[in-house]
Amino acid sequence: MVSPILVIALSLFFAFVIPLLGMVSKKLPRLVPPLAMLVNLWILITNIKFVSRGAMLVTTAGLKPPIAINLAIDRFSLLFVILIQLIGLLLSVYYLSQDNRDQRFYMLFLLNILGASGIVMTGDIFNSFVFLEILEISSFGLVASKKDRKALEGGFKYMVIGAIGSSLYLLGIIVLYLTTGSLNMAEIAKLMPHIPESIKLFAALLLLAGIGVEVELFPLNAWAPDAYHGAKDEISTQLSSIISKAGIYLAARIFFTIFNGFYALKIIFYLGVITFVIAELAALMQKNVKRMLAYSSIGQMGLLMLILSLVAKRGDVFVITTVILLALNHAFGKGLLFLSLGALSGGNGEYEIENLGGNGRANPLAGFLFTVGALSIVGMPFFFGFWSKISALISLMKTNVIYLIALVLVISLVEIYYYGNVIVNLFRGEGKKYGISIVPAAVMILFALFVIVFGIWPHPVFQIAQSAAVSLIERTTYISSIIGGM
Amino acid sequence: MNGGLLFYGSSVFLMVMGIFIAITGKHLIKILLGIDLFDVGLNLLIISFGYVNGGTAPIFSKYPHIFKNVVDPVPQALVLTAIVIGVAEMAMGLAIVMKIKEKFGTCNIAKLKELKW
Repeated sequence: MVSPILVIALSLFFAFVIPLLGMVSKKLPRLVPPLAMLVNLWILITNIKFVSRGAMLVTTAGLKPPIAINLAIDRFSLLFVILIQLIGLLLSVYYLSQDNRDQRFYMLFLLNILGASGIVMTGDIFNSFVFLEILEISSFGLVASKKDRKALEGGFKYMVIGAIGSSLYLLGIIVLYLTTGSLNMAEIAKLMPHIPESIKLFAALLLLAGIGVEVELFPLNAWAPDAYHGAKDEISTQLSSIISKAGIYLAARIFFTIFNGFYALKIIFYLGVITFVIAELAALMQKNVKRMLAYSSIGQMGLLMLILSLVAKRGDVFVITTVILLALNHAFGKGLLFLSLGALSGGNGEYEIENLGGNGRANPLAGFLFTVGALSIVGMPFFFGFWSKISALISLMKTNVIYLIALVLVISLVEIYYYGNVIVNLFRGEGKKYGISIVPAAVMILFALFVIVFGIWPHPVFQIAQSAAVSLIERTTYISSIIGGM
Repeated sequence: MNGGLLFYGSSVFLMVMGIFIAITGKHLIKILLGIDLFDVGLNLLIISFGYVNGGTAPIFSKYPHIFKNVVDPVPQALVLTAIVIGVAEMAMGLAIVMKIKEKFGTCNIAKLKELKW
């Protein structure tokens, strides 16, 4: 067994070894991120069989949990950290084909993945703040790394909202610390019944302010369209496939495990509905395809959060499974869309729908992959998105919010309309032909294979998602496996 | 946990002022300063939560009677981390502002209009 703490330590090591390697050769830094991701994935995979029911505890400084910082990895976190590292691996392979990047970019990239994995693995709430900040600061840099006007503006907006959000998150942690006297998630969760309702609500809202920035929840998502639009296509993939997934994990862990899904989830429910509806309608009005994808991404996250909040009504395994399926679909489908949009626009930042006309016909592979991603996101049968959307509808039905089913179906029609509009445009008329080299094409095909193969044969993904969901639902097992008896 | 009204009052004042400046400021540096003020106020607030009037450092010594009246060390450790993080954030923010000044030729937020739908 290899200690999972090495995932964090080795990522840091690799990130800081990059400038040294850069002195030796300009070509070396590019090779470091894929290597780091492979090592991390290997470490995580050797740990799979040790994570059974409850959480696997990794102590530091030789002290038992309520005292020292610890990692707590259950199946739910393991699934998310493997997802993050896997997409990180795919993206870092994608970067191999580009030789014009600054070595600092690779450092930021590795730190970003490190922050996301840290959020997912940690069992200490203050540690989650530290990793959240590592994640955020590196993503400001990644968004702005294109260094043109749009990227800088998007990066600055993200920075202002992210900085204030995470400060409020810290204040929420302090409120919890003052009332429970502990920073350990399991300990706080154990003491949760003794905290007065008003303090609970106050702390939950402050924590939501920090998480809401990452999961692009309604009042805090003003940065998202601009940052997605300004950033490079690969960075947009990273924003939608890695950063928001870490946010979803944190939301589930904090509002379910720690707060035991009390009525703060009702606030998330309404915010989720508002986010979902407004963002999808905004996507409908976009003339710029990348901005449209950004709004669609926000809408998807809204749907995810509103379904997550339904757990409050019944601690239902199926609802959490749905959240995981939606997150997987969003990670692979939306990632594929952003990457193939980059290939379709030739990487020169022309995302206006009329400029892209016919480019799908001129670049058949990229056009095909874009279509696959779009079909999966809107939930067509034989694509992975179909199963996640069906389970979303079933969980809405199970939790007796029938009126929302109508809403989700109507919004799905809206989605089909605007994605269909883009696809029809892509294949009409004469377009400009851009070459696509073999490595990016291979990465995109891997993304596409996920949504197609598991669209036809969803059984294994369902099973993995279900076992992860069970370990999130059994919060008493989680707590007792970390600090004992409850 | 009795830091006294002075500490709580001044830290809340700093936080409110910081948020106010960050929201109303038109100059990019001013917005960053607002965020920084907010962080400073928050750090002071956290420290004062753990402060005990006349308390000593929480170090075990051979004089156990002194040990009765100690300040809570955890908030101080948290604030140390938060300060470092704040510095990193500020550095990244200022770097972005520098680049914005280079590309746009202005630091006025009302003139950053590249992205509007």
